[in-house]
Amino acid sequence: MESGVSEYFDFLKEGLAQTGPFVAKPFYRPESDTLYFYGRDVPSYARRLNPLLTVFLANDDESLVGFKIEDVQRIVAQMERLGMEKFLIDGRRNGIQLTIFLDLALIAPPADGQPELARIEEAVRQFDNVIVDRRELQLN
Amino acid sequence: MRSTQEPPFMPSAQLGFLPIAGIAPDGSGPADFIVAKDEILGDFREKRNRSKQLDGLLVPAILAAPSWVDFKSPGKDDSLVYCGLPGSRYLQDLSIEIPCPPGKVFGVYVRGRRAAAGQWVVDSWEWIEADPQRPDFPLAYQTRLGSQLWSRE
Repeated sequence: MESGVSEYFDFLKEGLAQTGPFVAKPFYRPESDTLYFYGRDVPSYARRLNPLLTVFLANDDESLVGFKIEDVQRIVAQMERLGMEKFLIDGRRNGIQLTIFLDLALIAPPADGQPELARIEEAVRQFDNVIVDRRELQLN
Repeated sequence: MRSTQEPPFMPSAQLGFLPIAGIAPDGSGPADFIVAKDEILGDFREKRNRSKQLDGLLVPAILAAPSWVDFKSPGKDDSLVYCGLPGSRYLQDLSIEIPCPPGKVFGVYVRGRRAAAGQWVVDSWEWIEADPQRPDFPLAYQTRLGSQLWSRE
């Protein structure tokens, strides 16, 4: 291995040696103010739809694998202006449907027309039951 | 191949981070990069996201020899993307190397560390669409991102 990276490679190898079912759960990175979601564990690539939203498409068939949403705190601020209670799932005080973030991010104009936008908008509906815990967005 | 030179200072003692040696964004010399063990690598491990972990194996090669470095987006001058075309990628495990996906380039997103000038934190990595004319550059590299900092030319 290259100098200066052996710990890094070792850590990754340890992780790859572990087995178990894939977990499709959104995660937020406060440092980059980005919300990530991978719905499947398949090789994918990123396509930037607009300044807020990038989708991950499968290398094999370009089906939707996941996405990342940037400037999450701006979206959250808009939700709060509109009344956060409107966005919370009934019975889950801190749960927000992931695709609400997506739908708000999709309001931004597409980067270059994006002829496949309609296909992607339809595909994101498969993640309608995925919930973001707003405590993970450091809102409290 | 292992380098015979003394490795640059690596902040391996920093709790919760793993060091990676690379080059500075302007290509002027070595630079230190770190990756959060729990928040980034550990998260992919917990979720059993093998694809992201396998792609993570490509990160050091890109940070050490990028083809192109740029601001991540206009107005974010402490966030950069290192791009390059690895020789191959991994499938399933480390024993199977396969060609890189056609028409894609590998991008590593980093940001400057406020607490340590000159040190960079790896935020994420992903394959992105490549420019048809420049297969080791990202699509629309002239207009989509910020101002190009450095390229291997």
